[in-house]
Amino acid sequence: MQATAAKPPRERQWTGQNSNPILGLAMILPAAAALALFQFLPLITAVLNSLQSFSPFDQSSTGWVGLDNYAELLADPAFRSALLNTFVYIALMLGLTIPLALVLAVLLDKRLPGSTWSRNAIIGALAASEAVTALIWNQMYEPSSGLFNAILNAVHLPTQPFLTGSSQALISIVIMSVWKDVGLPMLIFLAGLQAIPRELPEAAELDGASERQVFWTITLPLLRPSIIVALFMMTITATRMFTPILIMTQGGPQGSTTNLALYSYMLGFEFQSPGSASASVVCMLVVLALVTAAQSFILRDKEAK
Amino acid sequence: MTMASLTLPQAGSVDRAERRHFIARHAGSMILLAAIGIIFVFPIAWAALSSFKSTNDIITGTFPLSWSSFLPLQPTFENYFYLFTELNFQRNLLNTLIAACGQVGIAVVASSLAGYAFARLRFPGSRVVFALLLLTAFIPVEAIIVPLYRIMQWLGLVSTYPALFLPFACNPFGIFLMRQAFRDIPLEMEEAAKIDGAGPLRVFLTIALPNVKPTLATLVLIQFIWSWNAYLWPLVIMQDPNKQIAQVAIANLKSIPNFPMDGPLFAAATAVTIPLVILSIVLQRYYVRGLVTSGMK
Amino acid sequence: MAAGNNSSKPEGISRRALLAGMAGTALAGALAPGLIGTARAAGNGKIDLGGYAGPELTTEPVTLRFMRQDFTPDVNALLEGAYAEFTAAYPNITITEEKVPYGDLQKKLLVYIASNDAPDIMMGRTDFADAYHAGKVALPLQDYFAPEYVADIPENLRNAASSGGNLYCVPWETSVMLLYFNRDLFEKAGVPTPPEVEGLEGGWTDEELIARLEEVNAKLKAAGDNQSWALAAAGQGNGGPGANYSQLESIWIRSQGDPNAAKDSSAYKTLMGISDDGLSVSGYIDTPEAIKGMQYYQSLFSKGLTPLGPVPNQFPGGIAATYFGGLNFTNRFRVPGQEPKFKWGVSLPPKGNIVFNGNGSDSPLVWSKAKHPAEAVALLAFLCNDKNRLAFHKAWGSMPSRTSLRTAMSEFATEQPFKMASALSDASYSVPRTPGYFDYFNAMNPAVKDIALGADPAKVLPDTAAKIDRLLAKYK
Repeated sequence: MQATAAKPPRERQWTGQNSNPILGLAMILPAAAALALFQFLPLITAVLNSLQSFSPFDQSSTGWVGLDNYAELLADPAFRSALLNTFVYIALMLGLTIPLALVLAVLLDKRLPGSTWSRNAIIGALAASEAVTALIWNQMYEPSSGLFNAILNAVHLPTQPFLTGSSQALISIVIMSVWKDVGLPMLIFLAGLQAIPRELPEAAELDGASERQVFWTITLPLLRPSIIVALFMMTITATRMFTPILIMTQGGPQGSTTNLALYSYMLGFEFQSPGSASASVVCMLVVLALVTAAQSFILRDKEAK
Repeated sequence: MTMASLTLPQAGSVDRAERRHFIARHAGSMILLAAIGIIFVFPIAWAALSSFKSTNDIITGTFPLSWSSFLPLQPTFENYFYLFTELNFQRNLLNTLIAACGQVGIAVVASSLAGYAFARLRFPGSRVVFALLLLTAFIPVEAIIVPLYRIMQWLGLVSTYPALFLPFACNPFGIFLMRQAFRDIPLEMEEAAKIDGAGPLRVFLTIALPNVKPTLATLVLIQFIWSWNAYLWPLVIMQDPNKQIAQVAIANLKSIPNFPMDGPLFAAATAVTIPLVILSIVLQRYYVRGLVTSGMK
Repeated sequence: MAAGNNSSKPEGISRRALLAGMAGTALAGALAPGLIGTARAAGNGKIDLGGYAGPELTTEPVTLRFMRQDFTPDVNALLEGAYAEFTAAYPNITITEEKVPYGDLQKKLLVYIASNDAPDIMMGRTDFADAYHAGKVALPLQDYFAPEYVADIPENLRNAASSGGNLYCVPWETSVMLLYFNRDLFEKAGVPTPPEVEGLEGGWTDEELIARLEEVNAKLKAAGDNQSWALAAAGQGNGGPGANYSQLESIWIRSQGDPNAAKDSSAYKTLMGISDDGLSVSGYIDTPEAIKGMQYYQSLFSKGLTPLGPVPNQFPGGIAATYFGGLNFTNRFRVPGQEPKFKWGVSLPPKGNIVFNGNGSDSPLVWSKAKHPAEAVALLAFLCNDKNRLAFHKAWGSMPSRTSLRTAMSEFATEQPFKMASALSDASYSVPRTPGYFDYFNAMNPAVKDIALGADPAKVLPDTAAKIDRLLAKYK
């Protein structure tokens, strides 16, 4: 985190903070009220709703049912499949974006000619919206009139179903998301790389270490804070993947691309079941919490410095 | 972790023989970099080029592969014409602009106030509240969409313009960013003002705010881009087609029976995306810094 | 988002595309001045309220809200002309309307109901009559209408719009699903065209349809035509497979059923589509007959007879040999300046065990908690009076939902497509009756799409049945 400003040249150290409860509370009020109303309240509502049942006609609550909604979810094969897919999305996204971002960052850090072009392209891809990206890639993935199959056909490779095949749809969506989102971890890594003092790798190279050794023994450990941040952000992105799925496959074929986010949305908005939708949302948040907790544990600082 | 600027050094100071040698050694990497750039530019560029083809050309000309898969062989403006006359897309763009301005406006005000309070004012519970506020960053919008919708219903704000930006205008990213920036202001400046008898509010307005302009620029840019690109929330909360934003309107172009709108779809996608791409590249100092910060919480 | 239950008309933005082609302006020009003229003339407050037989309208100021789908400008103009006439006769009543994309109508209705502030008249569908009943959403209308008027609605349609003995919505049009064919393409392929019959007998069976389509496909390709398709992509709802189970794809399943079989036989259940209590679907959509029907449907795609995605303007553009469409295409093709470039004809949808058609129809309803129910029903009755309905059907091309109107339109007695449509409509069935029909078709549509993409119906149908059963549990 940012180091605090230089200490003033006097004996009594002023941390820069004034004690002013009224003004302080007043100034944070707009933001805090908004966040309480629009983030915390829905969250708490979601948890409470997951324990109730609702009338399908006017969405009013018809009573507390304890964990019935959760039991129903577990009995639904579509839910179990969505749960599994959520983990698959997370694993694939992390497995693809983090190493790729690392490689790209290292490459761009060398500042070879062409880096600017490359970096600008990646930043541009980041700035496009999820919806537009999904729509463009949807066109490219079209089995009978799309660009990708046109290219495959031209080099005499078999055309692929992509989004219309239950074994390829999920990975097709992941590839599109990797394309779009790899810029973010890459920028984080780039910032991290540039924070490493040049003397360290140079000294190691003078000692005869190869570039690869330098990378693994010096660069990577120093990048650890960046990696943790990048992993965390990508995990959230992968868990909440929604817009591309809705636009490209609507969860199909045969539910192969449905994750918990989409499943919850469909329960809430297409099948008029706010109770089950909330239960599903709670499950999604639990998955997110578990995965990030696991990451923090695995990557915790084992050596005390 | 410092916010190092990510600009490249000038490459003009080596002499020609050295330069040739340099290029020869790094030819592989340079080709790789060029290819990477092409990969990331390609889909949007292809969409932009395709927006100048008629819908029929797009559907029939892509497969099998030929020049017409990539380039408009009979370029036409008809898609844009159709988009802005028949489909009234400018209406959607205007709505998007309204939502973005609303979000940016509120974000700047609320985040600056809160950020300064957390940076320079001590009050009971400030640490707890700050931690709680930051916690909301973990809550994906997809998780709260159903209850949030009902809250908006209860407030009577469904299908209104404020509903588009109000829920997400105050977000932890903005508060964190501003707090960081206010902390970076040298204490002497504020001390000097305090000696002159200025209260914290006056210090905030006359000293603190003017000195965080770059950060404010970052905040404005990031919030603008986030708002511009939002899809799910507007989809759910805005049910009046006249007030719907561009992203949702574009997605509606995808699914019309027997009248696929590929041409106008690409035109709309281009109209909505290219300005943002250019903006983010030109202002990448701020954009990148904002993105990197959003992870550092 | 849920696919709309479209009565085979394009929606939203595409209607504006139609604007470019439709000679509707000519029709509007012919009709609108007439209506507006009537509005100016009617100053004594008496207009034809159609079948309205309710109490006298109040003289207090009233605002009526009407939520409906958007139509083409000429049809919109008709309705606006009608409002003007009504308001001229009852100056204390103001009418505001809200136009919503067709596919969003049911969702918006639910949103309004949940917020307890719904428009007085809302466009519904007979498909949801049971839901309107169970949710106490709609006002029972039979007491507001004259018995002759209600009897004028054909019995099957009337029953579809009713639930628990009450009429909950008034079908203001109906539709049928016909098989259109392109005579020129059939001639080019040297294949006999489908029979143009006037009743329910003599049409192609499922096997015949598929065999003939395969023939057309093979012969067209042999003649070098690689652009044409044997069957155009479905144009209802959002287009493509699984966009409109209610009106189109359900034909493949329910036509395998048998209305005369024993009530506990799988043939009878296949036709019904759901249990009598409207709560269970297992044993109704996963019967051997249903699976067989879906296998026929799947073969359309696996044999390359029809494309998987929506393709522009296939049938009207002359590159598809057949198309499943409503009567509105017949009406549209007869408008001067709108005729297609090819010769065309109409036949029956393929016969399974029976010739099946669904009669789900757009039917406005009155909100059960409307503050001025009598006035709302009066407006509804006025919009559904003979003159307004006839003008609407002429402009929009839909089929009348009242027997007397069908008699008034001469083409139903003289022309083959209309006679056939009449026969189909009289023999049509409502959607499977359940308060949870919204869930039912929202689950069936993706299942149909999966089958079109190649999934095994013998697996998909039982899985979907289990899913729908789970979804319907909340209506118990």
